[in-house]
Amino acid sequence: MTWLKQLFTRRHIYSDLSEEIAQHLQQKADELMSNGMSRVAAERQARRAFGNVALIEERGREAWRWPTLESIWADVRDAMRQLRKQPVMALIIVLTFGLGIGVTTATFSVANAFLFSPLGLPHSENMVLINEQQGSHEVPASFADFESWQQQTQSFAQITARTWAYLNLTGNGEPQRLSAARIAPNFFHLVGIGPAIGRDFLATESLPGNDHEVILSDALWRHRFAANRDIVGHQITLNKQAFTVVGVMPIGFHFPQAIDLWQPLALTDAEKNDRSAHDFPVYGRLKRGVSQKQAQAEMDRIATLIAKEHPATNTGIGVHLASLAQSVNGDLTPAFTRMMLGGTFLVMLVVCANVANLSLARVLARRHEIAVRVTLGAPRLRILRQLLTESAVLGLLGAMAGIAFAAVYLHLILISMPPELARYVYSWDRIGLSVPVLAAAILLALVSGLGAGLVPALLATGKPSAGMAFLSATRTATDTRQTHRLRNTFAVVQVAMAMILVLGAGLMVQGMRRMLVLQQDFSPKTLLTFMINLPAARYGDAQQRVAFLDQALNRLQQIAGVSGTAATDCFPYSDGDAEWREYSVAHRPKARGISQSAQALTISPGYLRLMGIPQVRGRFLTSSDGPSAPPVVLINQGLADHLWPNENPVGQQLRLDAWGDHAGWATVVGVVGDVVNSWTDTVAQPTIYVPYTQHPPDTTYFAVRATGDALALAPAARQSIHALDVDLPVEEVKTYDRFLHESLLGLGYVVVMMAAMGGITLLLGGLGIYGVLASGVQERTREIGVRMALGANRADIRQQTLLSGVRLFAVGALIGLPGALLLAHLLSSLFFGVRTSDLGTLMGTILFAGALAVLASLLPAMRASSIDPMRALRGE
Amino acid sequence: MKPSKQTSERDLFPGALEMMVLQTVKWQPMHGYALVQHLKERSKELLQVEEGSLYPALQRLLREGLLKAEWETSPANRRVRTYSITPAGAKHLEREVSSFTQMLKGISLVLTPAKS
Repeated sequence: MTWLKQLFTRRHIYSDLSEEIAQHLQQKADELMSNGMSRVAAERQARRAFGNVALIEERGREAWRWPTLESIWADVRDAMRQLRKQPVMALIIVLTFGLGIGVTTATFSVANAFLFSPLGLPHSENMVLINEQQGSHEVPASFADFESWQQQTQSFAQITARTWAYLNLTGNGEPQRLSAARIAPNFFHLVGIGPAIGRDFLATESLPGNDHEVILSDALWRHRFAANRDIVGHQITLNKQAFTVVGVMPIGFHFPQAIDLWQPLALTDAEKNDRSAHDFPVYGRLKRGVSQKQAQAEMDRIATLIAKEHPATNTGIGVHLASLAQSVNGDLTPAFTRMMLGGTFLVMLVVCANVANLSLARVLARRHEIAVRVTLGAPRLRILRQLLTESAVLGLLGAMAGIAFAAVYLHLILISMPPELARYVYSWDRIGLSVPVLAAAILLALVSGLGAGLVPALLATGKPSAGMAFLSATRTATDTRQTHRLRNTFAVVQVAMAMILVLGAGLMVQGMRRMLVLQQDFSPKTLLTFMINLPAARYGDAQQRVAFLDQALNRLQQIAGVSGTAATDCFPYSDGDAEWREYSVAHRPKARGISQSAQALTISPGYLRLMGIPQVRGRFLTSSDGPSAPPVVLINQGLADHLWPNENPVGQQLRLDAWGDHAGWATVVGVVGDVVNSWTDTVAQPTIYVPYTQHPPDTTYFAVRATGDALALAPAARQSIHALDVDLPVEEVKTYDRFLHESLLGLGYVVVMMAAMGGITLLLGGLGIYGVLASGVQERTREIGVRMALGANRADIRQQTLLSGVRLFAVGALIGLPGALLLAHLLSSLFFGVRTSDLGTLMGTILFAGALAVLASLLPAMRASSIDPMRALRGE
Repeated sequence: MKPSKQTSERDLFPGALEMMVLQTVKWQPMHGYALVQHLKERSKELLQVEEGSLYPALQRLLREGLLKAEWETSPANRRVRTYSITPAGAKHLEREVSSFTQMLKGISLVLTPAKS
């Protein structure tokens, strides 16, 4: 650690030096004065003999500095000088880098928020979600199982449970439906974040009847209570009951996600001992040093023990641990995010290849200078270091441009997301240029800068003969061939990477387009949609819910300008709202552990007709399928083909398991066309439609078909509902067109991103081909002149140049194609509308890119064919 | 790696001044001013060393651990910084001198007209 010591003792050393020099001058002057000189003259003489004091002190200090660091600084200054000499080239390189780094940085900051700290909770890496497993399905735990786990587990420091509730907030303003989390007393303690204002719940508040306290989310507190700190300790009205606000959570706390307030989990003894109600997501914090795998093994053992003790409820029920990030994001967000990161990696490769090509040109332009220095004995390593310093400086300048670009870009993404959706994107308010993101950008800039500069720099300095070869005015054939091969390689790499991205983008755009076209079948612009939740307190009884829905549909139908009304719990192409349910088929016993499930939709009889979903066999639901009529269901074509490929499905019987044995078997009365209910489904899924009269839901979407402007019906629709129940919030009022737009917003973002990356790489790839051809033509001016003088045809010359451009493209496309197909395969498994077998898009993309390659080759080709042979020859 | 702007150093080859300094303080520890005087006298004024140029050389030798320095009070009651050689410095000097002698021998052999 001598350097460290030096760092601290340096100042001491410097002052010693100054004093020493002062003493020297003093002594000299004294001596001169003793020889009879005047003081002034003596001092001047002493100084003259000594030399430049400041300069000498500086020299003396230099001895103590780090030579590498300081000569690197000198290299950096030298690099800046060199860049100023070729400002346009430097600017192009910096902008190219900036573009690549900008896209990568922006994507990385999104990925950073989504993948690595999805909830922004302290030490969330050792937090897990503990679900129960029934066959292939995961369900939340039952409370009794949670308590058994809590008693037996050794792997967790603590575990906690919560459930959910919906509460209607009334008083001061429009009634508002709020999402609440009912939490066990140790919830915030386990999470590690407590209220910013007020206090956490007390253990005594988790007793039934003692639980009328709430903690507000920051957003609710700001929007509904004007951020008034005095609200703590006061009462608010929820579901027509008084609750005391005891605290407000800090800003940015979203756990569980999209929660407006937290409430104590107060259960009766009967609820506590229930092992069949799977309503309690359980979170655990692993003990230090315990892996998720070890915890899983322990929980498996505990689950087996519980199953033995309680065979009636727990046979076949396992436990599944998922990391918090995994449980929050599901599979799709990480898949898309990884895809985007992969995409930006390709963009960066293209950028590097492009910059490498430009750097090569820069180095070649300076070959005389380099050759002279090598010949005069400059160490090769020294020149290499200098060239690489230039590359690193370019990379860092690019990083600055890139960070600026990313900041603007992120701002655009953030403002493009409506706040009512952003609250469901858990990590939304943590997207930004954080320290790790900036560090990654700068690291990326350095690595890519050095990477792109390395090959040209090695080429310029590497071979022993390089110096001489560079020096000779007419370069040797090998030298030219080598640099050409290198430039061609760079261009081919760019084309190959561009092909992958462009094809991926093409398929996604095509898939999105297909989805948008299919959506038009539902005439989304004339459909008004909104949501209603019937609180259990007033609509606990099925009859009450049926009555409400009947009346609501009736009233809506009366509004002038309404041609039809319907209710459903999930619209086509929604954002993953479709609910999956296990079902059984009459006379087909189910094997234990084998899951058999379908999307179950509760609809009004008019829903399918209103949406234009076709009837294939049997009949639609009618108003006669009432609560007391025999239970009936409809199924979609896909499920019919799956269950009864060779039989008539109409008249068959099936049952949704979750609704229990008492629900009895329902008769299939009709088969309807396939519909994609969730855009995340790559194909239409098995679907069972149930009349709401027989299974009234508590949450329902209404659809109102307008003869004219759909949104103009909104006030009347709201009135109709409030005429029935003035305290019922009418939520998410929007046209179906808007609904679709919002549910596809995230996907749209991914598509736009991919298209942008495809566009950038295609542009750079085109520039790459152009650059190679243009410099090739320039270098071969004389050769072309000779050939023309000897009678070569201008058209031939043009064609030849064009052809070499097309050849570069063809080789690149061939290399890129397998990667592109792989990406296509991945995409087709990610969302509806993308097919690997989409030959049209495939060919279209290749043709489009090819056309661009031809366009890029055209200019150099024209220049080659317009060379004046006489001037070319004289030019030598 | 920087090109030297100091003209006085051009007269000596790199390392020459250091070698002379080491040799001098090996014989007797002394301070900077005395060193300059000593070099002038011993070289019979043949070497015109800019007085100040000594100090960077001293700093380099200090840094490399070939010299050590201590503040003392001179007989004339002046605060002076006295340099003395370290064991490493002595070893370094020995090596340098022998390689210098070799070089000098080689150069003079080349410069002496060949006797055929």
